[in-house]
Amino acid sequence: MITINFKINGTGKELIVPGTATLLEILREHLYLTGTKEGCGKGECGACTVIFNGKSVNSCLVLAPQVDGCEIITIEGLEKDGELDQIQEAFIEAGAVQCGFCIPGFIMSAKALLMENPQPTREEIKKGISGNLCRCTGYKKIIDAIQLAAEKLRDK
Amino acid sequence: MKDFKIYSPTTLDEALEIKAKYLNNILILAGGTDIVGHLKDKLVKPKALLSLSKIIELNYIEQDENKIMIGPSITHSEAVGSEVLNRYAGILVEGCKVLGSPQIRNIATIGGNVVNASPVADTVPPLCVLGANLTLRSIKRERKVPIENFAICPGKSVIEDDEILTQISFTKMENNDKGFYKKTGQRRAMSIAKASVALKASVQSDKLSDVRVVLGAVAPKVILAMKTAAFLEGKKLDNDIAQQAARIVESEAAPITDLRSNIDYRKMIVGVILERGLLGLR
Amino acid sequence: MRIIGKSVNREDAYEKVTGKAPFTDDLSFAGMLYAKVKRSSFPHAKLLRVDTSKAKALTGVHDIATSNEIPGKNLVHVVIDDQPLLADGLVKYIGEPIAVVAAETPEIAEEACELIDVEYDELPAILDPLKSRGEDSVKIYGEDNIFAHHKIRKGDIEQGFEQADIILENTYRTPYQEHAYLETQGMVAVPRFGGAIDIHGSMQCPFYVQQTVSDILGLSLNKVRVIQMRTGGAFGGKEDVPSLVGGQAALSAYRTQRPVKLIYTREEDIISMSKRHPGWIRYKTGMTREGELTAVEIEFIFDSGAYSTLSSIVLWRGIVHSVGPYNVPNVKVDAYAVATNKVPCGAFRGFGSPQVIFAGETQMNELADKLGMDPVDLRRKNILRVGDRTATGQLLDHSVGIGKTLEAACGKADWMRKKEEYSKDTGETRRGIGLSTIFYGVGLGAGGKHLAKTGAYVQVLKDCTVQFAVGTTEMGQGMRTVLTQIVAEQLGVSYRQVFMMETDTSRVPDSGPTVASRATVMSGNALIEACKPIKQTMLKTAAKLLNSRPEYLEFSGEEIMLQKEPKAKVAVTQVIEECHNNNENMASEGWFVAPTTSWNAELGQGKAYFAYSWATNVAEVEVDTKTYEVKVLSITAAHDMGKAINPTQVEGQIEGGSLQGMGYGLMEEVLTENGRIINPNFSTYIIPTALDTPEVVPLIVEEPFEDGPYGAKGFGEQPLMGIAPAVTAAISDAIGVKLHELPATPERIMDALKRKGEGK
Repeated sequence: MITINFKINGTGKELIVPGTATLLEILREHLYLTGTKEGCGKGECGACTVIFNGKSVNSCLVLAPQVDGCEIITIEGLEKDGELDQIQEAFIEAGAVQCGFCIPGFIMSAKALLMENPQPTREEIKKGISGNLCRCTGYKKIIDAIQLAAEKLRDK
Repeated sequence: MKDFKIYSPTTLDEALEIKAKYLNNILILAGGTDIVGHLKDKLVKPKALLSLSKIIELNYIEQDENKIMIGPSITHSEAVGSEVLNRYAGILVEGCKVLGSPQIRNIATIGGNVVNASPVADTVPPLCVLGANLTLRSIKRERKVPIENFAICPGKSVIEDDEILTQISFTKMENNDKGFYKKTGQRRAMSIAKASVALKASVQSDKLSDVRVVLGAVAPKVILAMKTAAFLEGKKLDNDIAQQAARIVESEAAPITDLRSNIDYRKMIVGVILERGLLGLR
Repeated sequence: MRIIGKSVNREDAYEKVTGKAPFTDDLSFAGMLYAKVKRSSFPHAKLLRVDTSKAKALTGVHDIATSNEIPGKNLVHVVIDDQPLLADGLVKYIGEPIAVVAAETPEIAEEACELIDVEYDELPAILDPLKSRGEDSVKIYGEDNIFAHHKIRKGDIEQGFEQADIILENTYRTPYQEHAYLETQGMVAVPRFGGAIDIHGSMQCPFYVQQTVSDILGLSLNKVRVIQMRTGGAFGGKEDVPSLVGGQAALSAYRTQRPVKLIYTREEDIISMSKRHPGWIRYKTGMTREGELTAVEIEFIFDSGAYSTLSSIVLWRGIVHSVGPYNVPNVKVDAYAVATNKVPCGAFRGFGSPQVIFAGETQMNELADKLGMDPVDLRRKNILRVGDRTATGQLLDHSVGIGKTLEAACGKADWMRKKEEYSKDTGETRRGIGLSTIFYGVGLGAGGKHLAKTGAYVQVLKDCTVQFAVGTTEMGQGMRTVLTQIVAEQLGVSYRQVFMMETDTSRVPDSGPTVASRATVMSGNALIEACKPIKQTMLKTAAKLLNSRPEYLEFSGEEIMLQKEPKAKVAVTQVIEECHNNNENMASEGWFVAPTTSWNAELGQGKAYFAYSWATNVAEVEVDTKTYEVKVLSITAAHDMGKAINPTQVEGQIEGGSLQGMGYGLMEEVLTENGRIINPNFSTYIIPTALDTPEVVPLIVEEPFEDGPYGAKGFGEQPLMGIAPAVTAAISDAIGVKLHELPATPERIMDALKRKGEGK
């Protein structure tokens, strides 16, 4: 077991966890933040994507010692005071959601992308979400949604 | 996953001591993108884990007049964002851009990609054509190994049980130096190479010199295509030369049939990648 | 209409974009244990001994159940009762469940699985489906390894070929396809008072799970309650196999009297859960010089794996669709579902039709080539129209939109111009264009008549909101949204006032499975039935308020008004309040039985389905002539689904299904070696990413179906079905290669060209 200190969605936490606990397990089983999903456990689907020190990562592949001292944002950290993030709004409006299991991961990848590049091209959006698999939507409306979110950001 | 003893030292010296104590019973955790999967599948069963994430001294990109030195903890995304690498080692940046997915590139380290000794590693062919040396350190000694001599077969390398990779260094590409790294995979993202080719050469009015050609995924390790390089040496680039080089490189590839591709296709594709890459240098 | 035909936002989108939507693995209960399944390592072996003593001794292990510990029947009932929940003395595929462990953590359960000592006596295995029927093959099912044989006999096949000017015969092969739903299989079983049990899980068919849990535990059906959680994709892969998962979790929970969670890992899911049947299809077509089909003769074999599961009805749907949406006077089809010692195959979007459609549409495209006729014109000559009969002799009396989809897709894609333009390409990459036309029988049809029913429950509450329940499930396809729209439209309330409760076997009677694109038609109609008495009550009450008679009133928007005097009206909300004040019953049930179908099994003739959806797909590709890599530039897909109740949701189905179909055509393939699946994860089983995605242009065609809610037919599966042959036709158009095997990887294209003598 190791002690880790980190910031989750803006709040500091200290936890004692097994050293081989993955960040995904820490989120889901220790913090009950179940919005982050496990689709494969091997970093091959992106369903567990979170923002780790400002960058998107697969939380299923990050181990506890790497989490110590870091700052993490999950899907639960996007809605602020009852107001959705523009990306979340855009996903609803563009019809980008079907079964929804991959969606938190896509939204976190989109968030990381827009944090770095607020006005991406369609091709850059595709690259930005190329580590996330979706089996329902064919990606089109997800790409539309991220484009819409970028427009919302620009107009804000 | 089973719980292990975890070490998370803040200095390299501490890490070396721990490594010396556990030898091959400890697994090094850098980015973790490969070994976490291996741990979950129980392909590796170490007694302890040695995390390098707190060792700041392994995380750098430095340069002097001729050389670039990279700390092994540099992630693929950091490399892609590095001005120095974009300016003096564009081939490596190309390799870093096509590895895995954005999420993997954001945490997977170049050191990890190299130490894996995988024939499909995307940074190894670029580092090979750049003539990179790997610095391996233990508490007793430090040695440099040319990267092409590092891997033995998939997952096996010359690294000793008490050693840690501490630096990757290579000569800067000069003004006339050109090159490329290209791979073919099963899809356009998150793909593992069916075959890959890296090339570096000095090009002056389409004439090639100091040619190095390296192939990935067509042998048990990343290999130098010596005959192809020798053939290209001193040649003036045109369609005919590129085609001839393609035939030679096909003969140098020694691929296998597996679930990603087959022998015939892999041999053919290294030729096409090389030919197109060469013509792209003009 | 206020809401029908409008692209309202998805009912469940908010909870899904915030991560609040509860999927199975998000559930936890106090005292919950975790289950893992011990599986077979051999494709065919006797189990000499299953020794659980070491595993039981492990700290934290609470229970290990083998087939001996099953209190009821060791059976997963689907069609033919041949599949046990846990292997009993014999294993027939790698990954077959042998024991279930329940422990305090998933890690302990996994370790316990490793400690279970299984002694096998390996038996020879039958792995090649083409040898399965052979006389000297190892027999693992009955005397001939045939789970099912279905046929069609129409007209005179020999005469049909005599009338033909050209005859084309080819053999086709199609691969296993993995559903690759993003959420793996999972269930949580919770013991309840009175010896009852609740099952929460990811599934399409709660009533199937209920049956299996009842059989396994020896409990009467009234003590098994199954509640569907949010389900992260299914595509047919959560039709029958969740019964295994539910049965396993239930067994552990029942024995330990603790809640038990069982979540499959991705690898476990891929090796042991159902797949699309690999197909081998010999297809012979006769045609006149003018391009009229005279005869079609088909023999096909589906590799069904170790147990019969749904194979018989998958095969049946296969034969009904095998000839395509064409007029063919003479037809002979023989199809076999054969047993092999591999993972049992089952339902997957299209259900036995994509395999035969790939063959049939490739035949049509190659025949057009042979005749020098445009493949669109060839379709125009042969497609079914109102008044025609299908290959099974079914008279089509209305709602036949194939012609409209053909013109819509080819018009939008600018077929003639592109065909011309692409033929002029000369560089290293060449473009090509290809098409397919398909039809799809909606609902279970004559093959599943006994299940063709659905129930619904609707309640209008005193705050003017509405809750309803149905027996079909939401798996991502958009059913919640579409049914919410129907209820809101029916009752004159706003979309946001209506809420669908989770599907739960205790809320509505057995409504059959959520498969075969049936939910909109079946549950939609049941809901309309359920709304009827409530609407009558509302009209009666409104009549009192308006001093009129109910028969003079009608619903108009969110008001009820006098038909002849629109100014005399009352708000629906006021009427609802008044109904409650008067102690009226504002809850009701609805029931719907599918329109009649019929089948003569000897001749393969009859009214196979109550309605058909129709589609045309045009694919455009760019092929690298050196690397044989294919880039799909666009897919223009025109679909007739009767009525698009929510056009955005329909587009979503078209876009997603098209990409899944493109994956089937170009890259997806489960590979086996000695019966073992060698690519059981997402780095080796390749599905398309955002960067592999073509521009998909969805087109909606509406030919109303008179028995459907608002004219809707089913929609969901169709978008996948015709993509592969359209894409391979486009590749063929680009570089002149004939592709008879899927997926059309660069390696296969290279081989096909070599065989043709055009390779390097």
